Amino acid sequence: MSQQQDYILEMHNISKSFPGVKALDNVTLKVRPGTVHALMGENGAGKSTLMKCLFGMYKKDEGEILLKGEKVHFTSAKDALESGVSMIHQELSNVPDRFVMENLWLGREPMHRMGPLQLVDHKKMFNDTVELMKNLEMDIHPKSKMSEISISSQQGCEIAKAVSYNASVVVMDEPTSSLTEKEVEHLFKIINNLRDQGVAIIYISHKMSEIFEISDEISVMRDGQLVASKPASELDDDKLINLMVGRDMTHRFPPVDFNIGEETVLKVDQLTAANPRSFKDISFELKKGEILGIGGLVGAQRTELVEAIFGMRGVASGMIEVHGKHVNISSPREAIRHGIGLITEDRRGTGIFPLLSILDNTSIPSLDDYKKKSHLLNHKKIESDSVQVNKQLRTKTPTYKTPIQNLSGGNQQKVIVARWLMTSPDILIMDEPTRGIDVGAKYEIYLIMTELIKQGKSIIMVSSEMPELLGMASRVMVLCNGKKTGILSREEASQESIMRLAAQFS
Amino acid sequence: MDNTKTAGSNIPVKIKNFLSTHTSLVTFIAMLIFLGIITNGNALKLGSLQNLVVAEAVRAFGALGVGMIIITRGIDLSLGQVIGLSACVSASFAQTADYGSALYAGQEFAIWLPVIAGIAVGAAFGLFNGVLVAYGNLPPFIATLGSMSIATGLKLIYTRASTLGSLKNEYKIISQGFMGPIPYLLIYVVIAAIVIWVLMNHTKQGKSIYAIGGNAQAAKVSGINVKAQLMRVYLYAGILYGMAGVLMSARLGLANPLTGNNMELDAIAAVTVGGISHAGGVGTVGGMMIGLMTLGLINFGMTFLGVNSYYQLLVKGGIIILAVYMDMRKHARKE
Amino acid sequence: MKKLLTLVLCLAVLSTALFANGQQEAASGSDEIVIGALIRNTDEQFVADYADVLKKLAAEAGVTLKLQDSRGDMAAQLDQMNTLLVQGVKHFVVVANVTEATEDMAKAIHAKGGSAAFSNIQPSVEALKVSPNFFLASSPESVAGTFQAQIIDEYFKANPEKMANGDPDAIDAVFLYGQLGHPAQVYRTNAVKQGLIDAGYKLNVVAEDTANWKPSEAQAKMDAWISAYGGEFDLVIANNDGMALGAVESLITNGYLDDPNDPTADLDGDGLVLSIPVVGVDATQVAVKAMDEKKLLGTVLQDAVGQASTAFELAVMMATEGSAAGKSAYGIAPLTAPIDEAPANDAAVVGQCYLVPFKAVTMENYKEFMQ
Repeated sequence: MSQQQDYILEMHNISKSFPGVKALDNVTLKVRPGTVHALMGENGAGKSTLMKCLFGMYKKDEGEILLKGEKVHFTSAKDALESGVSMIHQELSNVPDRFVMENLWLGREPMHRMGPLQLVDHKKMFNDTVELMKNLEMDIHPKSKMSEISISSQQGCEIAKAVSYNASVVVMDEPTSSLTEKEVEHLFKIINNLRDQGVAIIYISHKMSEIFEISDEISVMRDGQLVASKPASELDDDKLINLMVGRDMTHRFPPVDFNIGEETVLKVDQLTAANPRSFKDISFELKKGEILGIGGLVGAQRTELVEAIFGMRGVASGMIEVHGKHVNISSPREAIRHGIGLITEDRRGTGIFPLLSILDNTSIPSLDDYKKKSHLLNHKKIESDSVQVNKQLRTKTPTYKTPIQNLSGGNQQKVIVARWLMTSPDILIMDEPTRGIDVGAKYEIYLIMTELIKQGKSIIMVSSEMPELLGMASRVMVLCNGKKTGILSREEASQESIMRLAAQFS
Repeated sequence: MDNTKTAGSNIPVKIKNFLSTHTSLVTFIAMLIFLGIITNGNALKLGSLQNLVVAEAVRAFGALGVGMIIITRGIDLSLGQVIGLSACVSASFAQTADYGSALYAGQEFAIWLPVIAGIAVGAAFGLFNGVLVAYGNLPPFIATLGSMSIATGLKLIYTRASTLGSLKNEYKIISQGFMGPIPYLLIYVVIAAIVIWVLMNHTKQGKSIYAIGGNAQAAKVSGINVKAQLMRVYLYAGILYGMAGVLMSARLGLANPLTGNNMELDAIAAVTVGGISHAGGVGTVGGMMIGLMTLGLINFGMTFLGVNSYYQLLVKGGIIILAVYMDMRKHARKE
Repeated sequence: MKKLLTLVLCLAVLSTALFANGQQEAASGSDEIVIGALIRNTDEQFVADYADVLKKLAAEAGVTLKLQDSRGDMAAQLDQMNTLLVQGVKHFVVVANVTEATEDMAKAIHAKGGSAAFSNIQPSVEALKVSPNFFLASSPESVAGTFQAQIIDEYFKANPEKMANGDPDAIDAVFLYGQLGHPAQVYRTNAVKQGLIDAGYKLNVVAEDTANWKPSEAQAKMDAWISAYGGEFDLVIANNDGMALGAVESLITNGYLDDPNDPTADLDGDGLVLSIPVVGVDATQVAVKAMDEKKLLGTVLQDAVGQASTAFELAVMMATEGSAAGKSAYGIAPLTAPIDEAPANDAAVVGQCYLVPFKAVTMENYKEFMQ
């Protein structure tokens, strides 16, 4: 393929700041037609922000975008689509109960005149769809319902839609995150087809094997900057990992003294999710006084795994032992009874009750313990216990009756930790414990974690932040695509070794 | 996917497929046959079927309207009261001029006036609901709960809480007339159903309505003006309610403040039984009509058999719950 | 799963047949007398009593009764009538939803050669003019209001000082209505107001609102009115006994007693322990007992037994003899001369009107109505 071809899309010197963070710092990305251009980087490196600036979902602070040499400024995805720049989202946005062809032509249905009426021309719609699918060598019937075809076919439809708009640039954000291997193969066939037709594809992914299989050029982002843009042939795994990581550890963590006991408090054996696209055959042990980190990239099924242990998701097979006893956990209620607590990843969505007070937020899972003989609640005791735990954790709040939504993210997180301490769990699962809270508050959360293990509790910490895994965990289990790819001791763990496992290198 | 099947290979499979894709139709026909058998065919005489159609005709207009709204993931509680108000307004302009207790006693109105007035009332409420839901971002349940109360109040104020009777014969004939064995009402319903069917399946707007209900975000990304479309759906529904009101007053030969009470529940129940999903984006005009006729047949059959009307309520309630349960299961399985 | 739905729907229809208790066979029998009963709404005490009497009479006479309750829905009543007509039922007793619908009902029944006797809600003159086979067997709602007016008139004649509140020359009354627009609400209200004006009083409506026939709503409404207009009214008029008793409760709790320390003492000698009189309609047993306790001034008995028996006998007569012209039913002879009330005010149809007497229940006679 010709490297001398002009660029079809050029993003020059793009910068974007959010309060306190420089998300994009003078990024320049150039994409040639008829190539697959991979965009890589750790979580939070700025890939999505860059794409959002392209599609006008964020307003860039600086820089300009050229499409076929002409300056463009998109205000919405629809706007970009009409100019031939299209995005295939991670979450599919189609109308599930409608036919494939109706989805493809939604909002621009072919019409024909019948007497005085302008009616939708279903025949043309059908034939156009057949034609389109034939060109892309896809075997999707126009009159299949969107909800009844496979996810890869649905993605195929999204791509077909992009093609039908004569797209010259197609952005795919983690397109394989919910696909099976066979479906990935199918998708790659479609992508190759598209490339042959001269379309430029920006392919965002974490999975290195895929990247080398499909891409012609690779750009790597790190901390809001584009650190390299090279032909795929000039790179290999090691070089790529170095480019992606290349960062020093800082003193952001309190010293941790692990005093790991002999006792195995939690044993997970061959756990497999009910959902076939989720995790498979996961086994690990958690010792008393340990912080077990779980690392992996987006789509590694880490959250799904811990939620399954906590009884929120269905399990197809496998076994869980708590304190050496086999347990059957089918709901969070039972998990709590077995001394397990879960601090969920999505604090706003599944953590806090925004309008309720700190007291209520703290005490809600442990109210059973505060029932008086009359079955009424012992409010005095609830209050004194809740206040005590929150004081311990140094939750900063005007009063304990303040609605939790008025607190900062860090303090909200402390309340959630307090909530689970009230149930006196032996095992506390923390899913992204420091997401969305500022650096100072992060330190406080880490400090609380060290105090907890000192008290003999055990912690499972799911984290997307490598430094956090390295700084806090006694061991790191790495998942990739729903499978365990390894467990690293504190000594073995490094950004490189974790990244290798996370991107399916062992 | 279905083009891979070789045609005519397996007849039992075809029948099975037909049964599973047309459950409500099959159920309806089975019930009809069953009713015919246990009444020795008496329930299926021409007169009975005429009754069945006439009884459900007015509700059919309401069902078509609320059916469209439910497809957009909305709901309309004002249906019954708007139909009632429209019936009262249309009746007030159709009273015989020499009727002493007429609202406009002594005044003679053209025969088209009550029809236009009734439809206008419905359209006004439809527009009001539509603006509240689409542009005011009120949840449809709340918006229409409010307009339901407003319509009830206006109904009482307008009629001065009395019955508007003694409607002109040439007005009543609108609903009570027959063309041979076919009641006029049936003709109106068929026309209305065809118009809505074309709207929903053969126009851009119909596609947009389904898309909004199925995934409003996707609709927006596809360049559909979601707010304008939503408002129009409520407006169209309002116009249908207006027509229902006119036909109702002409059929009863009167209207009073009780007219239309609880009709919203019947109409919502009918389209629900007909497979219109409250999760949005799913449902057909044919389904709405079959659901309506199914509940109508149950009403008719039980009356025919002399079942105490209290038991009728039990059976109806059970069927509605069952229909929604099935709907939810279908959706749960997909996720 | 879909099969299950189908199955259950079929079961629903099947259960229909079970509920039906084999009634459908009766229609096909040739010599059997079949009477259709189209009943407005058995949620109302009077209508429920009426329906019970019909059932009892039919059982005694060996008549097949096809009773349909329209639950207050005029359209449903029309559908039920059509269904019965298709089944070949000819002779009906009818408690219509509204007077205005009776003409169309009569025409539909007449088209099949049938007859009907209307009770409780009076038919229009036009309905009776459809054919001589349509009858009034009723005590029209408005008469209840008229009786209320009479009871009130007697009370204020005997105790003129009780009009002192508000405007001393007028009766200052508060009105508790049933469901607005309900025929009983409309007719009873209009008649009592007209009755008082006809008796020469100046009527001043201090407050009026619906309490939807319910004692609890009436009590709440009354509590509010007492705080707003306490001392400005002389009288409470309710469309039924339930609401009247709700008002009585409110008056007692708010201290509107002759002797607030002794709720059984009648100090002013007006026959009531309350300082404000209350009247209702229906003569329910609870209301009569309240009269015994001197808490309620009066009520009006609608004679469910009389109306149901008259209508039933007329329908049976039509079914067996084909005519009821000039004959008495339940010992009541048809009117011979017009009276003031529609439809019996039209000379052409007076012969089709059977007026069932009903009674004002007053402090003098209430003991007769205690069971």
